Amino acid sequence: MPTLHSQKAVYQVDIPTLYSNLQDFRILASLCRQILATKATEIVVRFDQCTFFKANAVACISAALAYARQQGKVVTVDISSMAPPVYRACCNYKFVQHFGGPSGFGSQNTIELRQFRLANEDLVDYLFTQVPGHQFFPHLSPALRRALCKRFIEIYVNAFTHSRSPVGAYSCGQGYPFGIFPFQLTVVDLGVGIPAKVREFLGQPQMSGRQALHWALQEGHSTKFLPGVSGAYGLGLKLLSDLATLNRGRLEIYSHDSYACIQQSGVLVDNFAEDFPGTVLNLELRQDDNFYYLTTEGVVSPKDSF
Amino acid sequence: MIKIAEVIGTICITEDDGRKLYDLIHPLLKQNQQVDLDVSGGVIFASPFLNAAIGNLLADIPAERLRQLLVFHNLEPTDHALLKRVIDNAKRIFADPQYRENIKRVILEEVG
Repeated sequence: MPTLHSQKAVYQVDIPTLYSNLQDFRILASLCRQILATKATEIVVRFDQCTFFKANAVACISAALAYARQQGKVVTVDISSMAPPVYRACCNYKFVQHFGGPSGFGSQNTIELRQFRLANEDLVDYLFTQVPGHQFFPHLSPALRRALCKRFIEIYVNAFTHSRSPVGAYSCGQGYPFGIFPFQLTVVDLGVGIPAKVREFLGQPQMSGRQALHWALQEGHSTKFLPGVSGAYGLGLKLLSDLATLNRGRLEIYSHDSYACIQQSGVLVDNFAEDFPGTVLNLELRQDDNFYYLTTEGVVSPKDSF
Repeated sequence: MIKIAEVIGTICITEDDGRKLYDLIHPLLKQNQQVDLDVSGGVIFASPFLNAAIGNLLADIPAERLRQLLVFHNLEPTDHALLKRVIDNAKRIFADPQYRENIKRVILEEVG
């Protein structure tokens, strides 16, 4: 487990090596909760024990630190504690720069860390310049890359629409040369979470995280409504699930006390005892895929839609 | 012809913007007028916008009538499928009495 030391007004966070597995995510959730809970006026982030810092961890830690900073705390990322590869990665993600350090090198393999509060031109520009501009998905035509970027917007919409997140959405991603590992895009908010919204909507406070998230993942199920107008909602998560499963990728959701992993081999929904203080959507896609799903789904004419 | 890029903008993501389009086209469709929507100009759609703008039309206008009256121009091929998903989703929602009950209950609670 990571160590956190409270030294009067200074709180030290020691980031360990974090990959994308469930166990590491428990550690990450615990770290984020503790960053949010500390009463210290200054937070110092150290990386002495970290040999690898992935995009999903960057996004989660950044959201928690941003909230702390928003509360008036001083956040210092101690770059002297970073091993060279970790420093390089943190610069490439613009994590160091985001918290007051020197500007990054920039990399063709990273989608830089960014905070969004609205679904606006900045978000579209971010996706349309970062994803295709970095030579991810070399097999895709420009038209399909554009279609894929448009689908990515659905990941952010959940954070803006449902979460009431005090920091908006934090986003970060990673691709790999030659497509050895999957492309990864992570979006994090620090909102009320999907289970709480479902419990509130259905009037069932006793629902477990697993039950609530399972309900939310069904097509057409949504906690959104418009007074005076019947609501047609609840498609975003299903669209993302389809994108992941039909392209042999994976969609992971951590939302407070719930967890889901959706992939072609099946859907796992479970309780998440560690309780992440918000929602994480982590989408992984194979970079060598031809995305036949996007190709073939576009054959419907608008007239046939109704 | 209603050019979406002009009346809404090219970023058509949020339900608020979707509602603006809904408010524009719903009265016309209710009067049985044909509505031509031009989506040229690099319009970017996401599901919350289409749910609010198009999906909600199915609450009180039958799909068959929408098929005759609502005409899309210059829709990108991959957006056709998203539109179909939105419409299929809306049909299912408006046919589900339990879902409608939940919506009604929450609205009543909000109103107090």
